[in-house]
Amino acid sequence: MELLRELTCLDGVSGDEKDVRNLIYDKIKDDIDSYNVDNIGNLIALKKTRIIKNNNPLKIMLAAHMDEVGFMVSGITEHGLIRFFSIGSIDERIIPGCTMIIGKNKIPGIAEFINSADNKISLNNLVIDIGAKSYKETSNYINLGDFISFKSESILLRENILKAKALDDRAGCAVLIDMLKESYDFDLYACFTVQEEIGLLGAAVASYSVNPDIAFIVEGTTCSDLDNVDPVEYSTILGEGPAVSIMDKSTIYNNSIRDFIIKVAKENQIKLQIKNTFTGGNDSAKIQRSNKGVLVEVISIPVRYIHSPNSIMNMNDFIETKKLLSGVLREVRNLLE
Amino acid sequence: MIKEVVLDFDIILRKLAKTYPGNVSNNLLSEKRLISKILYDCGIKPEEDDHGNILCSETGTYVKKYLIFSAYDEEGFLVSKIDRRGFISLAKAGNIDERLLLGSEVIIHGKELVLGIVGAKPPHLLSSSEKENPVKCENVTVDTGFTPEKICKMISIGDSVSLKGELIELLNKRFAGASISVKALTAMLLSMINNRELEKFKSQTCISFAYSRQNNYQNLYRILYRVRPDFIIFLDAVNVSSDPLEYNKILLGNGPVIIKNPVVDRDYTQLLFQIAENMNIPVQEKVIPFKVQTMSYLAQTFEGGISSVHISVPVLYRNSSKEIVDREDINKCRKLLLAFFKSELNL
Repeated sequence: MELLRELTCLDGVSGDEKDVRNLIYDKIKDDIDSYNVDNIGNLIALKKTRIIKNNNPLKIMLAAHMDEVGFMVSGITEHGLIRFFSIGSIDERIIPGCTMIIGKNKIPGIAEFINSADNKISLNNLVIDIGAKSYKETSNYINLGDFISFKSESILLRENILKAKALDDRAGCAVLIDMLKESYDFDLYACFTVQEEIGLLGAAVASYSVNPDIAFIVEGTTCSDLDNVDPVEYSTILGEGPAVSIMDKSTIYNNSIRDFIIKVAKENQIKLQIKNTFTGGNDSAKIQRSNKGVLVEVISIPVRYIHSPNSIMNMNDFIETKKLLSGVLREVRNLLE
Repeated sequence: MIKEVVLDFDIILRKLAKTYPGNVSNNLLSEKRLISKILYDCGIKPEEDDHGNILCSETGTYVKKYLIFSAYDEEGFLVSKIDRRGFISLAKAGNIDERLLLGSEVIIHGKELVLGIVGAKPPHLLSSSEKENPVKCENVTVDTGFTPEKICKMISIGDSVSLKGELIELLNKRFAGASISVKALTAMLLSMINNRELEKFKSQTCISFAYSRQNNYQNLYRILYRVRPDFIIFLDAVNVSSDPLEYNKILLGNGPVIIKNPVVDRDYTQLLFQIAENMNIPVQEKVIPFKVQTMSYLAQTFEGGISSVHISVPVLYRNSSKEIVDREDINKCRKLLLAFFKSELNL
């Protein structure tokens, strides 16, 4: 829980994952044999097989992305207000009123809606106000291209319901950190990837380097189980355990792997659901198509209000995800053989 | 020279921003206790009526009875429905811009305070028409994470819901927060009372912290009946200008705004401008079109009629979930008030 809190309090918009990477390294350094930060910022940690004389061990890749959705400064008005664009997919209607943290100096600002003729909320009529009175004053603190992230507290709404930003995919990162504490009879590559939210960029590079036999992606996923939403659009249901996917916008998943995961869940009495929408995408798309092709499956943790400063996750789903992945890793050799 | 006491204001404002959410119009809540407690701590026994209004007096040698009228209720919502899965529907209380609701954190004031999130569908699942449509209050629900059985024990239909209002410090001594203009004016008056700044004047000054102003000033008459003042100073907030072609723009940081309309007292309004000039206090002026339901109109037609002036503090993004106010405007407003009372000695 504390780890999740730490991870979700950090700012790590796509392209600016350094703080998240440093924290993750700090948490895993005693549990890994080696690591590499590649040219685009992925943190690839290796936990070598416990079988000493194995010259050609299986290579299992786990992936979770470090980045979160956010914004970038695109301009400063003559009155010192900040214009910005989105990094990743964000419902623009949630932006007004949000407290933002801008740039390396962590300047706080408020996203505000400037009334427009059509009365619709879009980036064209949104600004961030840091209290400055002029272009000159704002440019003393803010540069074009500065990253902007949501400011949000990470708190428990009740005993097992966590409210935080960036649960997509710091929750996945926390699961991977936990997996590195165990020993395995294969080489485990835990890849903490960058820039997932802007086109799955880090995963492509990481998968090329690792060239795994199979990869499991751990993701925070959409959960829209609200009363004003048609149940066919629920995607996942909060509290019903992790989800496996049949397909999404960019990947058709392998039936055998999905069946294997369902079997592991049943044997270990772990709640599991099948994601019932095919929207969105994740790192598996790039990993699946890397090198000569890689077997992939995504294990997702339901997150309500994803890509907003106030996402909600059921901690039981998080714990069940860890149990499931742990079980999958124990049995994965049987699947591949 | 009038002494500036910034520290008190800051401390009180922080207290108000932290422990004060939920004074949503028309829904009497225990948060008014904070104002009363601060007044008691100042050694002043406030009067509270059944409608949530709080009154206190600074008694000088009685020559003329002044009323400073300010509101402390804020924009918000009421719980209108709890559905079978525990999601909560809202009804508006006040003029809050409902388009800004989506994704916000709110506090529900039930038997205990419950934090909730105004739910939004994931952007991955939104159709293009959904993305374009502004949000309406009746189309959103609040998610508290609690089961329906549990949440029904904690909250009821009609409980008030306010936006979670943390205080954000910005550059240039500006600060932001939900209903921060109301809170800043309340903090200013409480710190003036705390410092006994009005006590030294001849007049008797009643200060009212009124409830339900957001719902057509219902409580103004109740206070007027009680106090029966000779003169009223209305304090509230005014939006800064958004029209780029406007010549006399209202700007943040340029001082309090003296309101002109057909019903405010012309001579006293002029006196305010004169005092501001003599004391070197920057002020702005704004003409508000005549409307029946302004506070000054209601006061002017009360019983034998009461004269009034109207001072406003500029606020950016009024009625949004994060208003912005300049601390300097509050300081200048306080100076102007004190200078006004001081000048009354010579009238």
